[in-house]
Amino acid sequence: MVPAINHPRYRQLVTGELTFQFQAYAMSMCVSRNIRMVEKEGKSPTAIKKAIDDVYAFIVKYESVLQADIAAIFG
Amino acid sequence: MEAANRIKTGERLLLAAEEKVLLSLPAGSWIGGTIPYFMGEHGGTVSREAVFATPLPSEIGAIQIALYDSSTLPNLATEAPENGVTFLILPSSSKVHLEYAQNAPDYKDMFMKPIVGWISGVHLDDLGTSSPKVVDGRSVKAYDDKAIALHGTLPPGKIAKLGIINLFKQGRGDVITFPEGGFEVRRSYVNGAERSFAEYLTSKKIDTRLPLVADYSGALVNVSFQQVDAEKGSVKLYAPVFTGVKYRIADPIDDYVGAFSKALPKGINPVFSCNCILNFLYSELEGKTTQGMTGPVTFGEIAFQLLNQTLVYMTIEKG
Repeated sequence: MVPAINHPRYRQLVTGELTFQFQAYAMSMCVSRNIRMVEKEGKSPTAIKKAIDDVYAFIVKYESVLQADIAAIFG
Repeated sequence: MEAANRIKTGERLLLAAEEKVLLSLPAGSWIGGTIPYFMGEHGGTVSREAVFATPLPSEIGAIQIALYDSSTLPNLATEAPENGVTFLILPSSSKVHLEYAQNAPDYKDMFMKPIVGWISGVHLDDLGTSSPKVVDGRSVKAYDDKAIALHGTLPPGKIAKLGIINLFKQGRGDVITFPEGGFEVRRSYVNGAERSFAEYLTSKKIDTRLPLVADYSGALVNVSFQQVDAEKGSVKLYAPVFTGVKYRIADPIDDYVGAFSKALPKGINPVFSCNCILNFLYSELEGKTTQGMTGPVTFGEIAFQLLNQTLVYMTIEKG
């Protein structure tokens, strides 16, 4: 089950406050791209929301192959 | 020829071969890219006559083949099926190659839709005299200025999963960043201090067979060196560097084949793979095998974005 989009870990993930070494290549690339985007946009609320939406949609779509990485983020 | 017969029976194929060989094939459901280097079942091979054929996995249903130029390429992921995989081939050093390398990470739907493929090339003896191309198997027409994509759909319950095997690890040396991104760099920051990148590499006698390596949340991504010109103060690369990314020079690898065996994930059944020409050359892979990971040896690899000195593979998993 993918944690709800308002879980605080999503924000911590896309702002780089918490960093992870993911197992799934696509997860690594998706998260990294969003961390860079948020940083480039000065961690604006708009950028953070866009990043969270993107990462959440990705995790929901590929939940079945991201179990280890989801557990790493959310416990 | 075996490839011709397979095409005539309606098999859907991804093909790699010299240009004249690809253009001799019958029309059908295939896309191709020029390259005479392969990792075959019996090891690394150079052949101007052979065709390396990757059949589409049987799980793939409907397909759509499309050509893209540099203005339409940003639509690639949005035009990909909601559940499927896109196989993409780009000619090396073309406008589409440069466009994809620099901008693909920011394309809409990138990472939501699996995109895998390679950069076509030529025999190294033909550099400067022949241009890398892609071939549209529907018309058997070659292009040096377009990308060719094959979008394939997968049924519910199946997912295309991309993986990489990058044997290069970040060394423990200097942290390097760049104030401007791109394929050619002049200025860099070495541990935060501005420095000419060419001067840095030259004065430190850096072995430029070793790539720059960035850590993307656990995915190690290389940028390979093409040319260092200390006089002009410029460094040319085989992929762009990006601002905001920290790079380190890679640690050397003593035994590529041995390291590859250790790094190979167990129990996987890849349906596509490709490996970099620089790995083929620097690690002397001709005649050596990479244990079931067979495919073209390429001028760049694609796993969503452009990669260097990396093996890319794809599996079909339960979704």
